[in-house]
Amino acid sequence: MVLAPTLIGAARRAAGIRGPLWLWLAALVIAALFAVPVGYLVARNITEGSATLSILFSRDTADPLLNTLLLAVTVSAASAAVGTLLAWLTMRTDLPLRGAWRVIAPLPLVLPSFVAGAALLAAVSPGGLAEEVLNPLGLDTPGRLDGFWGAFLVLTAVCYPYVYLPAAARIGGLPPSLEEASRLLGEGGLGTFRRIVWPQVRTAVQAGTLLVFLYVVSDFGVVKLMGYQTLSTNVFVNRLYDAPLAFSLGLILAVVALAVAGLERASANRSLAHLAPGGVRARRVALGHWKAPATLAAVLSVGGGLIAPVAVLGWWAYRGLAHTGSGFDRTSIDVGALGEPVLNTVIAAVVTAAVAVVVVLPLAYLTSRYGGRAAGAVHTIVAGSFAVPGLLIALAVVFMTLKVPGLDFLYLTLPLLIFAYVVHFGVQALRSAEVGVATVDRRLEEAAQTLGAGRLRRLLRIEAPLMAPALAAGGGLVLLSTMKELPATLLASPVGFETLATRIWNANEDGFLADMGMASVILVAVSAVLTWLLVIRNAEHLR
Amino acid sequence: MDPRPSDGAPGDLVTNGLSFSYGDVRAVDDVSITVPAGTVTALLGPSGCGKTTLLRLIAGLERPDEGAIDAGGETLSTPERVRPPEKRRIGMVFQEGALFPHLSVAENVAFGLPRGPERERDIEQALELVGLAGMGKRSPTSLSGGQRQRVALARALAPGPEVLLLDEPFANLDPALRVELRTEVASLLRTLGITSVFVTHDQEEAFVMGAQVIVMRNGRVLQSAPPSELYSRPANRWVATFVGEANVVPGQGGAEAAETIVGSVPLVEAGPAMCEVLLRPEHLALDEGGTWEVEELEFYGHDTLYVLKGEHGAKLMVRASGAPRYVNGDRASVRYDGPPTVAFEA
Repeated sequence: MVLAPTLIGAARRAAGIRGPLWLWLAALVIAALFAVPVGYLVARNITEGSATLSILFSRDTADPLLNTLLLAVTVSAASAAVGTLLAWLTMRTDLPLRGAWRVIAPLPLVLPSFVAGAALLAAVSPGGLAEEVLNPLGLDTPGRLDGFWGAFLVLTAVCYPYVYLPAAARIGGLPPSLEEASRLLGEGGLGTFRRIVWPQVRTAVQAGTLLVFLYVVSDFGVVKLMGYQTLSTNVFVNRLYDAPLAFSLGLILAVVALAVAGLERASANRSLAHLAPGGVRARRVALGHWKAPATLAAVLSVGGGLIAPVAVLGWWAYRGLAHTGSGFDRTSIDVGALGEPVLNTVIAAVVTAAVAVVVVLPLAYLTSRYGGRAAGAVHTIVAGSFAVPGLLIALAVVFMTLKVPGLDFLYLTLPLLIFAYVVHFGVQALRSAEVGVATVDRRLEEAAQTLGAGRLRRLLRIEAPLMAPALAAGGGLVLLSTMKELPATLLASPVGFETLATRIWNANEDGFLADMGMASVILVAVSAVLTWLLVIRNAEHLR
Repeated sequence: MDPRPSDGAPGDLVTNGLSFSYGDVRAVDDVSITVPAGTVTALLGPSGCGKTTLLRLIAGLERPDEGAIDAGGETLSTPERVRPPEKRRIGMVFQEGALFPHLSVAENVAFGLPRGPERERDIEQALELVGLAGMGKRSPTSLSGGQRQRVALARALAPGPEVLLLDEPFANLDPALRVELRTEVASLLRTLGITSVFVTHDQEEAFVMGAQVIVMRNGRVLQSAPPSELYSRPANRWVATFVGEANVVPGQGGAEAAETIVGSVPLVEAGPAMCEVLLRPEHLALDEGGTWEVEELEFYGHDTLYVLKGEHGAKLMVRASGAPRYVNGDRASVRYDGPPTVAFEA
């Protein structure tokens, strides 16, 4: 009788399992659900084994794979360079209007990449803004910008903030005395950046670059618009008439994403300076005659990623509003028809955010409070689901409900869409929830316990209020990502369920540019508010 | 007593009419000091008095609004031209050490050393100097607070700077370690004979470290003098109380003495008719019976501090060696039993 609990205890310790059993049961179920889509993706490939192998080594695969890698590597490198340079310029030099740049530089984050891409194409389309501006000046409209370079430009312009934000937070939090000590020991400005600042910022830049890489390999909208064939466009196109091929390509895509995420994690630098409590004045590097080129670089980066697309979209929306009409005219808008997509977007995003926050909470308790190898594994599963493109997660759940007996009642339903969203974006809620759990000092709970408070009362009176800000932030990030997600929404939405993202996509495909502009302006405005509240305002806390 | 005119010998570090403002706050206000070559000068003042800013100006980390800094006969800073910190040959030890966290102890020390065959030897020598021989491979994060400051000192000394600046280097250490380290560093700096400026808000630390102590307040220099002179002949009432325990009592000055509530007190120089006289507690003595009442006493082991209440609410601190000879409520008389003291304009 005594032996059994002892044995269980020993086994749990051996497996690195700490914490109450009920929490573990909950966590196992949740982790299993998170693993379902990727599991199905793998299982499909195994059951169709011979076909997969032949596809893996065929030319059909090689080209999209190479295109995906080429685009992801070049955009990552360019974003890392632009993001780091902007971060250093805004945090440590005498760049004019630094304060304004710090607010503006992360803003391209509010633009879903497919919106920015569509805006660029709309600008150069016949009757577009480029024609309107250039022709009176006697200039020709530039030719259609597409293919690799179109995708590269648009993705870099909207992705560099993923590097900028963590790099700026890191540079801004770096004790200025490190750089001062280096200068006093005889090292110049550039040498100090290379020998002192860069090693401290590298991990932040690397983490941001990984996000860019994952964003690019999972991107569907921009590459489709630009007519650039990647794994994701091939998965999307083939899913209907050659499902085995789509699943094989999907597996390759998932492997690429997970492998790069794993490599980045393994190479993170752990010897970092403790961030200064802030308020320390940093010495500014005088740019001298580099001031003008540096300002121009900042203007171009932000202009390309934010100002130009928003101007184009705003112009189309304005034109549409000026000729309000039936909605079947390319240049007019039926404003009332946008009500439903807005409502659908809000419903899907809010429900997803709420579900995500609740679902990850037990996981956050395990990883943040008890730790251990097993908790680490749970975290990895959730984080891995973010690395896997949303397109694949949606593909897997849609086919699973179609093929697996007994699940067909879920096929193309709202709960299925929300499940796909939660699996894909859950880690954003998890990271925030972990921070939230960590802020609740266990001694507070013990104090409440000695005052006679039971588990429920402690949860409601002590933990929930203390964790609320972190949970809300995590939910907000999920909300923001869900609103902007295109491919998963295209794939897994119920028939006739149109969100802003799919509305923009369809309007663009059908050439209703005014409609697209209006829907985009709404989406960008809402996501700008959320981004400001959740990301930019708290930039220092970003990793 | 006033800030000395700055016409130092060659090799001295000299500031002339130096001023610097952060926005509207005049952090350093017309400061002229001389740090004699080969000696340690302590910059003493309460937090926010401008001493750290003065140090940063000397390091070349800030540009003066007015004035100039000269060292070794060369001008380092003027409002127009500031020689960059990396070209000054000035070493600095920061309050929090500012060790490069991604470099080992040896790599930190080597940072300012030129490449060459003697590099390894120089690193080892610098570490030996601060008592950390053989610790080169350690990571800064694995060191205690005291060890980190030793590494910071070794790193600053290794390139052989002409001037060494120390910005409250012991402020983050616990008291016992602080005392131990300051004694060690004081003797090391004297042995090396390096021109040093040591910033602190701790009077005891300033007295132990500095051959000369410069007292600053609100961006201005109030007095610069050797510790003993600063203690016995402070320039004004504020300095008198800042550098040690003090009774400042009203008096009537004369040519050689002042009349006070404890009788006649000898003066170092003629005092004004209406004056305030500095009476250090250890220069007062107690006799049994009298008009003063023992109100409080604190026994410190080596001596006892009495707080006495006199007529019209007057209070005096008296420090006497040994164990308490009175209890609360005892009556006593107080007399002056010390060297000639100073009187300030009332």
